[in-house]
Amino acid sequence: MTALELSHVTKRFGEKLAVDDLSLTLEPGSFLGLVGRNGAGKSTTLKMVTGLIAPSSGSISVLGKNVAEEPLAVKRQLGVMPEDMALLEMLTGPQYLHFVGRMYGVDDHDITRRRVELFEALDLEPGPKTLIGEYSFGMKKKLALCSALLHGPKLLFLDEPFEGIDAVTNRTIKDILQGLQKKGVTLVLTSHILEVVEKLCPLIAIIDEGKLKGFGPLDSLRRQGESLEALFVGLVGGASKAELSWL
Amino acid sequence: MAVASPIRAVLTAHFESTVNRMRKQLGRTGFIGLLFFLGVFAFVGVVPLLLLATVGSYFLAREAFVQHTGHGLDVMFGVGFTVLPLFGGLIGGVSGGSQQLAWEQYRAYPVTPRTLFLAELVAGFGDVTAAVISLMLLGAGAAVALAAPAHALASVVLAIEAVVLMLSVQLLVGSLANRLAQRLRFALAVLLVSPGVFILLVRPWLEKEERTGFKSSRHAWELASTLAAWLPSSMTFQPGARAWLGAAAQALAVGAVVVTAAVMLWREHASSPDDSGGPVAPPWTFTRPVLGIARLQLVTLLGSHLGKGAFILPVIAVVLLRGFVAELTGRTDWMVPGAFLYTSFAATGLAFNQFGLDGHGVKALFLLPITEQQILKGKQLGYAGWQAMQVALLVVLLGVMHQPSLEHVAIGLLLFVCLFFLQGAVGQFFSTWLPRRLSPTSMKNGQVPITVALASLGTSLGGMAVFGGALFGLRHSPIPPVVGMAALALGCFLASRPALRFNARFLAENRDRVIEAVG
Repeated sequence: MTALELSHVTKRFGEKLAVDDLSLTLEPGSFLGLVGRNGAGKSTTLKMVTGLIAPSSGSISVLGKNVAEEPLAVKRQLGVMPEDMALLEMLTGPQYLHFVGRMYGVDDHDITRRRVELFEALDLEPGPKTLIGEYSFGMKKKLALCSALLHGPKLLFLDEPFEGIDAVTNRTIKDILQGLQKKGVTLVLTSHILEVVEKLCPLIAIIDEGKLKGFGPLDSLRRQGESLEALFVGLVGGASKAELSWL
Repeated sequence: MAVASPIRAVLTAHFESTVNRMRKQLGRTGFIGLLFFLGVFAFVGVVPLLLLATVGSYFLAREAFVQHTGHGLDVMFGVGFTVLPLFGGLIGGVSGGSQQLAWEQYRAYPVTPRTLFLAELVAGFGDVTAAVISLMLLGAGAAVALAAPAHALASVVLAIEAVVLMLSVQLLVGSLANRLAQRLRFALAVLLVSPGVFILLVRPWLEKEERTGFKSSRHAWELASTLAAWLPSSMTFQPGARAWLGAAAQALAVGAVVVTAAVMLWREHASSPDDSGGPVAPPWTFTRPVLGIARLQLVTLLGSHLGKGAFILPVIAVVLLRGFVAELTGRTDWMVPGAFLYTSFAATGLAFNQFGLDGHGVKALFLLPITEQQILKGKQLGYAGWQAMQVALLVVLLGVMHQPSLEHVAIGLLLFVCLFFLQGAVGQFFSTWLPRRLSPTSMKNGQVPITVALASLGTSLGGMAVFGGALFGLRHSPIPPVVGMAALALGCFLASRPALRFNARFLAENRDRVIEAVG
């Protein structure tokens, strides 16, 4: 059984073609880095896979279940950390994690235990009455990651997880993600920091203007000694060198 | 997964958000003070209502169903179980007593739309009106059951159905209010035309009624009484087959409302904002910073549901004050200024939270190389443009429907200007002191800190008293009222200058508050 299968997936917003005939398959325990320019269709793809929006055509299966036909069964297996995090800012961190845990049917005792472990691992120490709205950006990122991991997902989607995170936590998150992969969890990560993707993800998918430009193990995609950045710019086309006349 | 877990999650989150918000806005002492105030309010306001509903129902039910002495009391119970939930749902829906949490959040979780609807329905108890009326209905149902055991089952079931009906209507009205704001031009056209059509239709009938000594009205009352007796809830208290028929009809009606609310709510929230695919508005330009901020504020206001919804106020003002109240009081000379005052009064919410609709953009605003005074001045200009549109609509409506004298319109306008400067000056201070984020796609101006609510109410009522009092004095003085009011408006404008400078200094010292709360 595949962990994730996208078959000829297309998404249109009015006249705009956001994702164009995208097909790819991931085995359980894969760690995919999904990279692309701004507006390339990465977030739209993640939204379709996680059931937030429906594709205009094509089908998506998660762990053998069709997203359109069995959305609830699929969502139970997914952990999602969206780029905008979408946290309930008038709750405290522990209150929010209890909310999320209950939505997934985790019992209160387990939620508390997992929350303590997650906070400790991610070095998240908010005041007991500090509201999420008062957290720093990095703390919000950590909390969003906690909420994505709380119910023990089989497939984890992380949209720009390293943005605004300090170096120590960055390392902790990488360790956690690699540990999850060893336990058979499938991970999909999007990031503009290509060095992180290069070090962390054995599998790479490059998407541009909604089309898949390259997909496979990094070493099979690039030439000897070539960096991911060079491969990426080569596939999607680099910007012309502009002279800034006033500087 | 059990259904109970998500419902519990949503309810707990509703409760915790409310408590956290109050605690943050009021501080520990203020929060305790509010709890004390609510306790006193419950004691002097809610407890008597509940006593009235339960004890009153008990004695009336004994009279109606045991002693059979109260003529029409059974119908009164039936009407109560239908009208009270409809009223409560209407008030709760308009005041935003439902859907406090961002619905988009929920779509990521493995729960069915049915469960989410159920959770939001139950969370509707969070609204004070809904909570009080629910207790009254359930109390009345229990009292009738105790007083008249023969009707115990009917009254308890009716009370529960009435509560479900109210919560569904509350969701339905909240959803409709949002849709109305989305279809502003259509809604405005309907609202502009409908009062005129209504008056054209009703006026000849009213005149005829006056001549015939309201004979038809008496017939209409008799007809209404007959219809009330045929309400499903009234029939449930009647003997024999009619009771069963009434019970079935009531269950069907409540079911239909619940299903409609569920479908509307789900359709509203199931569509992603990404799916709109509409044309992108061209970027706005400006020549001077203040005008740029003014234009941004105007566009933000006009683009928000709250800003659009405010255009209904002139219509309500004309219908209420110029029509109904004028008929009641017989004082038409105060009605035109009254319409202006009402329009001004009802739009205060946004004046006391001028950064609320900026969202994250407020950070960009403070990064611009302009002074706080320019920001506030620009916002005031934008707010003035938005209010000018409402006033223009009001003037057109008054002109079409009532042909008021030019003097009355001028006085009304000048009163409006006086209140605008007063509310603007006080509103700027509170916008910095107690700001909160507002959703541009919601009609809710909810979670207003009690301090702000009292201050805006006090400012508006105080302004009305002072400026209205001045107008009253001018009418009994040799100075023409228009001239006097123009001088007063000029005075308000001049007084607003130092207030602007003070508020700008206050904003400069408290930027962090605004960014933290709104950005």
